[in-house]
Amino acid sequence: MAVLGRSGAGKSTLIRCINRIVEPDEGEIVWNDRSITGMNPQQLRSIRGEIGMVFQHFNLLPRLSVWTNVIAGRFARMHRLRSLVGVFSKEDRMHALSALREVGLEALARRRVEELSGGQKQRVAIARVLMQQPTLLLGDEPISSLDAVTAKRVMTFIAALHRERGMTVVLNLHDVAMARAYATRIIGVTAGRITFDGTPEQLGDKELRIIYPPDEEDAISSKNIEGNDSRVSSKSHQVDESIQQRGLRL
Amino acid sequence: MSLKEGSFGDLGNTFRFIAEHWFPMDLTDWRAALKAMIDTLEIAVFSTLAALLIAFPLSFLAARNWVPYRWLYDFTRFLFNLFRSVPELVLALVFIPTLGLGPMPAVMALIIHNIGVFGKLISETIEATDDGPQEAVKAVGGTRLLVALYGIIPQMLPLVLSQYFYRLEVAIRTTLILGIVGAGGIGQMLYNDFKQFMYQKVTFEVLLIMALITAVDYLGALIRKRVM
Repeated sequence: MAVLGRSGAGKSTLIRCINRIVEPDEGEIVWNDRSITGMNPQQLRSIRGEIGMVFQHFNLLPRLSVWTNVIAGRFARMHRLRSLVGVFSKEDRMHALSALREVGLEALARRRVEELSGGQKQRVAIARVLMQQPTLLLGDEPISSLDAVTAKRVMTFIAALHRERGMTVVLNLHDVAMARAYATRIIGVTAGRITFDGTPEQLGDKELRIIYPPDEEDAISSKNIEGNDSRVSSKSHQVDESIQQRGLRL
Repeated sequence: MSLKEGSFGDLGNTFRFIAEHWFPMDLTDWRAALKAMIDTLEIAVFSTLAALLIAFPLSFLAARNWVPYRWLYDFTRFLFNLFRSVPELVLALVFIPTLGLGPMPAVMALIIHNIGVFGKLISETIEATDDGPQEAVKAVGGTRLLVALYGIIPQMLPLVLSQYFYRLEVAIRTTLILGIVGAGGIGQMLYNDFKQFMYQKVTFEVLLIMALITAVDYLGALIRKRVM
């Protein structure tokens, strides 16, 4: 599932509310019949261990090795003392190596993450997610910092995770073409509200104008250039009430 | 207060004073001076290390982006302010009746003052760290402690080292001053020789202090380079 919307529309907030990195003000978030919003801190840590997340700027642990970054994906499941002193079990170490092998970075396990390229860093972040063995993968603009070729490679890898492991994937994307190519469902967010929920085929120009409304500045420059009013009607800003009422279901 | 014309007119006196009285250098007590310098270094290193070890964990309680409760943040910051606001010289004088003359009052004064200084510097460094790695640790189910250990500390380590070596340099200079109130070390030796007009000995002691400060600076740069 891809989430589309302008910068500041609320895409990141939506994604981050799912694992409560951002605390939602109201409403309920349910995953696998469990209310995430109703969980205490310990339950929350445990469910976070089952929800993978990749970030735009990778959010790797600086000055630490690739291997340590990957094994961090296991924090929620390992003994607290082990994670505190950094002595990991053989099982965890084997899992980390296998995750690194899967993303093709086994040879770089001992390198510091600062020494990697953008694409390699995102693969480390994905290996960290693989360590979690999640049923849900969240991505906050995971390909925005990557070049076109690397972005495509990362998206293909994520699509394979969905296809082969049945992992539910929810990604914030800026690239509509990528969303159309890889997603089976697209959510449009405009000014903090869901304004589109459908398949890539249903996402036409009209829907895109709703998801990406021109702001005042665009409207003024459009007026100056064309001598006409902005082509987007005020109706297109209206939110589909039925979507708002039934809520967002993954 | 206006600067009178000719305030520096007597600068020649200082020059003559140094040229006529401070040379040639008197090296007869070089062993004692060297030992006193090591004493000074020991006082400064021990005090700053102890202060760093105490202040480092406490700093997390004074960092807005980590502390779980606002009252704990306010309390820890207040404590740091309190420790930092009293000058080392005053603290050393306060401890003399209890600990007697010697290095201990200086050590206590330096520890207390530096807890306050390190507390402020480190907590503000924690607040300035990048949120990204902290979010990542939270997102995999890490506890607050793990967020500190893996998301914050690796980021701030080079800065803390830099702050430590700067404070060590300051502590060495402070230890010299504390020599006046009987803390020992090369500061006390320098003070005594000065009072007895043995300026040629003072020259050697000043040179030793300069060498010590430079060596600490180089050592700090070397360690920082390795850690980076």
